[in-house]
Amino acid sequence: MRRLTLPLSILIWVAVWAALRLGVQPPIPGSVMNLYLSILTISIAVFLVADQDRFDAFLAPLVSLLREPGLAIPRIGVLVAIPLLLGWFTYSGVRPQFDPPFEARTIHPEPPASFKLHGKAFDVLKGRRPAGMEVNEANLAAGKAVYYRNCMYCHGDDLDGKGHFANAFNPLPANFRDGGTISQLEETYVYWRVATGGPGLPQGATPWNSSMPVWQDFLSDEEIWQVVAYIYDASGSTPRVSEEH
Amino acid sequence: MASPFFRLRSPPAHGARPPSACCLGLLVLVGALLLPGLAGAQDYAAKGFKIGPTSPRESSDEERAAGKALYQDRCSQCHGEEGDGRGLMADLLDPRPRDFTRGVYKIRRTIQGELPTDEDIFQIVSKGMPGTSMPAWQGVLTDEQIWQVVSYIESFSPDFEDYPAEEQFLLEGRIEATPESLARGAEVYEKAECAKCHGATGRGDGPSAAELVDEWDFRIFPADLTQPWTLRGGASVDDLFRTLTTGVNGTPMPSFSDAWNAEDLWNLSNYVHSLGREPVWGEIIRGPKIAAVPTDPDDPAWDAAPQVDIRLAGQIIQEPRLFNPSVQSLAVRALFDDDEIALLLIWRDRFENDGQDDMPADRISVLFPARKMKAGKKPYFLMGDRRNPVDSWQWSAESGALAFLSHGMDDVTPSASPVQGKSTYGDGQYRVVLRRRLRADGEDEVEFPPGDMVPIAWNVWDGENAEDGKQRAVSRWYYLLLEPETSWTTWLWPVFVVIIAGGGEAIGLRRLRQYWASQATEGSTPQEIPDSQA
Ligand code: HEC
Ligand code: HEC
Ligand code: HEC
Repeated sequence: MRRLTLPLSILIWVAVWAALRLGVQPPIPGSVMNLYLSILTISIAVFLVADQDRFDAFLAPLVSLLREPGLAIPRIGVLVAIPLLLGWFTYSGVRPQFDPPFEARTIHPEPPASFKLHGKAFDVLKGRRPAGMEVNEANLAAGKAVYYRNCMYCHGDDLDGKGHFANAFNPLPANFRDGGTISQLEETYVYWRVATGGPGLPQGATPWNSSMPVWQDFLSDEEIWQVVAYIYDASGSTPRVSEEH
Repeated sequence: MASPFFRLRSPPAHGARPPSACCLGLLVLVGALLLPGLAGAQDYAAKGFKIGPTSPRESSDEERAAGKALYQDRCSQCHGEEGDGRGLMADLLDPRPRDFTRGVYKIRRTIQGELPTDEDIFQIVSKGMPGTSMPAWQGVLTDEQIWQVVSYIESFSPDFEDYPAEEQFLLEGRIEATPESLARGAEVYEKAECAKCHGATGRGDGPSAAELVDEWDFRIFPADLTQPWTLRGGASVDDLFRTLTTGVNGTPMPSFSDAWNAEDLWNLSNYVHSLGREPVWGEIIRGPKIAAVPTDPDDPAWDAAPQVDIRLAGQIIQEPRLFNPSVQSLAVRALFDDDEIALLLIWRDRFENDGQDDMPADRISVLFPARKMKAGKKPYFLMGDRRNPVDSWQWSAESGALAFLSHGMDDVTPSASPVQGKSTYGDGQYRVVLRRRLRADGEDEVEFPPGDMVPIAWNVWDGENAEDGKQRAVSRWYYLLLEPETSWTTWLWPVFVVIIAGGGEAIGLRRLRQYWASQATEGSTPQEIPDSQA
């Protein structure tokens, strides 16, 4: 066992590194990883130094590598490899790297108090579903037709954001089955988003490059209410109800 | 129409099933005279094909009822409540959702013209049909649910009761893709006249490509074999062998198992597989520096630049919309020298439209922000917006290179940006080089400082598909990076580290040697007391 002290130390180090690197999802950030690895290295060193015999056993293979006349070739190999490796690490550290600029994204920006829809002002906070637009079978059926003729190419036939054009756009179309989208929003907010689309997002609130179309250019008031009702119903979610209501 | 393959509906020799109810009487009569019965299986076996019986699944009424509910919920929007393919937006999709009442299925292991096996339908519903809007249901529905909906869609056509397929090809006996196999496959490709439809290099641009229609009288194009990610039935060698052995029902794509033996078709499958490549979808187009940028699209200097594939979508954001763009991806490369930047754009277009026919001319635009913007900010991706204009370089098959300044798709004016272009067209592919000075000459022109991430986007029009104006294929913004040469200081540090480390080793080793030498002389003296205790 003693003879294997050096290989075992290396094995343990590599095993822990591999477990941290490959076994943890999401991946550990680089700085935290370095911290863990320093702790690991120090622990192994302390363990080795704590016992003179163990430390000698750890050093023995190294000493013989440096000393034995018969090991000249491996010796030269190791002595050449170490500076080259260090040089390579340095190179990968200083080499110029180019990353795309970070793009901040507010997914649900503050809506305007009111906006113009087909020339009429609509109050996003106090507005209501108009009479005749109740969530009923007829309106849902109409909303379904609006959805499949207009939205499914991006938001998907299954409302999961995976339409057949979805991959061509960035940001990706919203997944209505995800708890982080429409189920967090009030219905009037969604009504505003659908009516004014990506270009209707307030200044400063990226994603300015949302491909979400301005639906009031295509759809009537009624059709927008109908499709909003449909996406809630079909994705099995309900609109958030604000406290004052 | 010149070729007997057109509108191929049901194979005369082995077809056991008429294509539709109306011709049933006639076909039964003719069939009675012609049908060789099970003799077919022996013919195939003699040619090295492995044939086995099908194993139909028993399905219960409960299963079909559960399938019906699932179908109405998940499939009817496209395939229609009655299974007739007339879903809510069927007219906006190409290919259209399948009409199940006709019992015509493209992807099967059964003899051409026959129904698929239950397992065939299960597989295609699970995997979806790449290159179409038919989604993959694996992961969304459980296997049990997929079987339920399969048994329900079979009930739309009485043929599944009356003429179930009894035999299927077993896809066994694959041959390794050796150079001999590929050479043999290429020979079969030529002799079987695949090029008539698929073109000499497989891009689907053969002489017959212009005039094909499918069983439902809709225009259909031969598959582009160089883009395996768009093949309906998958693109593995086994998938290709199945396609070639059984054909694609309802389309002009014939089956080749009557004229060729199994070995030929395995070789051909290997060859067709070798025509394709893996796409490289990327975010950043990296352009290396070279001595002088190539002006010709076929210059071998382009090999120095890595290629990135870009996905395109139909412009469905402003009216008039384009729901079925004919160009769904393009490949891009970039190079630069001290003076100029050059972009190589490659895309598949089955027909050249140079504006001299009745169709609009084929065109492509490369878009850049016309003014430098804060990092991460970009103009609206559809040709800019009121505040943030876009510098657009266009190449048109009619008028060559042009430049525009645009504030959105409705506000486009010609600009003086000195863009030059050169193109080639051949074998169903455009290759276009667009060049310009790195530095801007005038206001509202993009600049390319090496090392900067410059937003870049594309718009493509295919004249054959009547694409013009806003009806075009569009991309989102990507980044173009001209890679600056590595400065010599970058090398300084690593060299420094190597010298220090090597020197350290040399000194350390010398000290150790001296120490060992002194120990050895001490060891040889009679003195027994170790150093430390002395
Ligand atoms: C061209 C693609 C496209 C089409 C077509 C499209 N959308 Fe969108 N939509 C997007 C994208 C991309 C986003 C995500 C970015 C954003 O919030 O603007 C989005 C976001 C949304 C949101 C916001 C969800 C949230 O959590 O904030 C709603 C609601 C929405 N879409 C509804 C619709 C409806 C209803 C239709 C059809 C009438 C439709 N979309 C059609 C691309 C599209
Ligand atoms: C978004 C629209 C859409 C939805 C939703 C959809 N399909 Fe399809 N489906 C298509 C299209 C389009 C085709 C035809 C593709 C072609 O012909 O190349 C097709 C073809 C098929 C085929 C024929 C396969 C063959 O070998 O020819 C089957 C089977 C099928 N769909 C089953 C289903 C089932 C089951 C569901 C529901 C679980 C479903 N589809 C949902 C669009 C859709
Ligand atoms: C008469 C014209 C014609 C000929 C000849 C022809 N094909 Fe096709 N082929 C087509 C058409 C049309 C399609 C597209 C079918 C579709 O989109 O569903 C197709 C599709 C294919 C596909 C893709 C199937 C899929 O899964 O999407 C392959 C592979 C293929 N052909 C290979 C060949 C080979 C190899 C030959 C020669 C042995 C050949 N074809 C001869 C017309 C033809």
